[in-house]
Amino acid sequence: MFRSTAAHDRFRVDPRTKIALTITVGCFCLARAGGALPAVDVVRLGLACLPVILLPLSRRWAATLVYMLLLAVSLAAAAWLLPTIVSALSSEPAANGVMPQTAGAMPQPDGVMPHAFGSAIVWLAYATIAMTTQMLPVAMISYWMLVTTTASELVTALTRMHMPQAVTIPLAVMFRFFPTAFAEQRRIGDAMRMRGVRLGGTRMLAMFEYRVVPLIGSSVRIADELAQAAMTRGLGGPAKRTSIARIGFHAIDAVLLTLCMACFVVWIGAATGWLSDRTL
Amino acid sequence: MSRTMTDAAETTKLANPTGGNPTGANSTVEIAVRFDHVGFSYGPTPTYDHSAGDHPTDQDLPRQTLPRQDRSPDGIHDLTFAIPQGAVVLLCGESGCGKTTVTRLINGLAPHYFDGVMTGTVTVNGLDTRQSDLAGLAPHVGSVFQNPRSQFFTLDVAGELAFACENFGMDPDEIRRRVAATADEFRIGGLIGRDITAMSGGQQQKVACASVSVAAPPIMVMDEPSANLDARAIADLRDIVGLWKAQGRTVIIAEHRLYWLDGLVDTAMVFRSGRLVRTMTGAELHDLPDRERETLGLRPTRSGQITQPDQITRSGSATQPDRIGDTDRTASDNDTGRRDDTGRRDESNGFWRIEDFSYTYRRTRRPVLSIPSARIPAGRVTAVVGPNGAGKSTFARCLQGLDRRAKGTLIAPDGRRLSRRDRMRTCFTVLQDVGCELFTESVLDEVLLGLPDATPAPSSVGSSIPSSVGTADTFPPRGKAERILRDLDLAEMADRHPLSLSGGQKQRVAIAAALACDRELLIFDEPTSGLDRRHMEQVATRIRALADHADRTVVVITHDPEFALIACDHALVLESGRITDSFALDSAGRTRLADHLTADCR
Repeated sequence: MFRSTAAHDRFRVDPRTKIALTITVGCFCLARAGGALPAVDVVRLGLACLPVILLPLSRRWAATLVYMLLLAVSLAAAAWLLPTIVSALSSEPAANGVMPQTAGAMPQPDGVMPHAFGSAIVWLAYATIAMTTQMLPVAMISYWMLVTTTASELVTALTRMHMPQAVTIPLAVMFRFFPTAFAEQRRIGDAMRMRGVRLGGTRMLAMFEYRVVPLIGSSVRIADELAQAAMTRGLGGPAKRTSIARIGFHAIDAVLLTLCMACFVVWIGAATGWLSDRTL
Repeated sequence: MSRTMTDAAETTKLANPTGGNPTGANSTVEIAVRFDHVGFSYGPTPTYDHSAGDHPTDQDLPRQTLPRQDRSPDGIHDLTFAIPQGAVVLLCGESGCGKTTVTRLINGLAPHYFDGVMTGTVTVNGLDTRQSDLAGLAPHVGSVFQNPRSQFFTLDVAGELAFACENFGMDPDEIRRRVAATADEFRIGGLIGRDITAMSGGQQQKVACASVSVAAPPIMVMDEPSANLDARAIADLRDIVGLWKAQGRTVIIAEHRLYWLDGLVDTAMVFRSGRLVRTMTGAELHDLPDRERETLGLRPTRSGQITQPDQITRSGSATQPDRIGDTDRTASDNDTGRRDDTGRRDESNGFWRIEDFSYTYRRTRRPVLSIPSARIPAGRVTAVVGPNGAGKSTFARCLQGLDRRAKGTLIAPDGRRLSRRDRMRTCFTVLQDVGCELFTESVLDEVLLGLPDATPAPSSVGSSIPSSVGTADTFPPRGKAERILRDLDLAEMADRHPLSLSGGQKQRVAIAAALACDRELLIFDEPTSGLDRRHMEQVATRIRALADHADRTVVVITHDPEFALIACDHALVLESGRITDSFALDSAGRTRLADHLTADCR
């Protein structure tokens, strides 16, 4: 979740830049803008590698290592493992996709695979690898955004983007509320174990109720107290809210925003055919 | 100024409060808060009168028959008083006497947040609260609430301190300057940049006070600020009130625990059923005779009173006149299997022994709790005391065996070695927030849930509770459940939803559940926080009965010296995850415990 303390690192990126980066990675890696265009594939690979640079700059060493490992494994699997499985299970030559999520490389179940069993395995492998390569970069860049931004920085950034208070205040409350709700959830879980209430097959609904009812009760109470405390300190008043969060654009923001822009330029270039003549 | 204050508060005709100013230095004392024939009763504002006839069926909705939320206190009636600027005013009285309502009328939550019918006028710093709104009152009144966990809007200290000023639209540089100055003043500079959720209750309450102080409102309102705090944190709170007083701010505190304000209070107002029944000066409060204090239902007003023995008769002590001496004797005796011939209870005497308790958080090396050995007298009530963050809750987790990180063994008086899993079935924890451990739809189901071989009662029979033994025979667990409920005065509530009950009733339901599943060792986590004297004594009686009549061993984690002294037989002092002291509560032990629990507040 959001880091709770203000960043004192020298490497500081404006929340707005982070939002732009997340959207860009989401566009290309998750939503697969640009489809199977080879130039866009290169962009995609580059964006997937971006967290490898950003995470260590924010001193998230463990996350960097885990991500590098997962990325390497899934890319390797896409490049070598899949074609091997496909050719082993079917006599026909495997589709040669470097990135498995390339829609054209997806085998047709009854065209490529003669056996239902083999086809299921290939589908499973494809689905797993595709999910990893498509979702992991977005997950990682979102994680980076969340752990390097405080809630008040984000709210300030959104306010500067002229988001109305009706959007920013609920957002701030939400992020304030999540840790509290998780803590309550843990306490209820503890209490259930202490009382010997266990998950049982026939009483699933009752178990759900046992968990949810106390949670709602305490959540409502906490939210109520929170609202009182906030309103007695002037939240929602007529004054235009200021903020002590130090946000602003620096050189690093320029670099990252240029990068985002470049990705979209490549996409448009490739899609209109202007770029493909030169790169291929 | 304190004498002036009394004059002003006692007058019902709003006479000029400056009349008796003894200092003479300040001939025109400003009135900070003025109540003029104020009444307030909670409930929906009767708006349907205006649209009568439009939706006649709406009025038939049984809104009044719904169980009243026990949290919303009763209203107040025809209150008239004035508080001069710079005074420290204590509002006291039993729960539901209306003191919280007074604080809400001052900070504007009533009537702007809580619906209700208000009569009369409340003037705060010259502002009619009804003509203003919450945001308009915010610069004039700062509020500190009871629960430190739920009054933070951000999760970092700096952001929290800046929050009010940001809302007022102050210049960011000015806010930064103020935040730094206030952090200095409250000596919380070291906390800036720390995660608020990971701080102790005392630190959180300090940050809450500081965050209110930053915007420099001239009036401070505190609603039971000490309810969740240990002795050290209460001493800090006392310093903060002193600081505000020195700065000339008006401080209005609604409280049950009074000893920590001794010497700071200019005026104490005692409420009962929404009316002001007594106004005293701080000195009068200090010298209040015990008998009068008891009639008013007040807790000790100075720390010296806490240790005075036998203010309240101990339940059960009549049948065991030499019990405390006994504890002392057996505690100094190494033979744990020893049997006394002094009475029924002593036959079961012995100790629960703790062996190598430790608890280590994830990703840390050093255990936060490390107890090589300790003993808990069986069939007695043991208080576990120590500062916030000393590991008391962790100790309770270990004793209960709640998770894998809890290491160690508990040896029962009869020699059984209880692993963590065994303890889950031997111990029962009654949480401070009891609502977290009540799951079912009715009080009876809640008790049946713990009975072996019992399934929750079918809803068809849940509506009528047969009390005859014959019905109980056809379904034995039900008979046992009903007996337990009767013993705890819960029989009439057997059909109610547990969450619709009051805090004390919920606590009793949890105790009933513990008795139903035959747990031998009961752990209470802060059972008396935020309770007035009468309710605190009720809890004490109930806990004593568990040990004296139900033969249970009780371990109570508490910050409440008054409670610990009337309810407990033995004390364990926990500091930085270690047991530093363990003694029986004989007369010397009582003084020792009171010292631990009221340190720094004398």
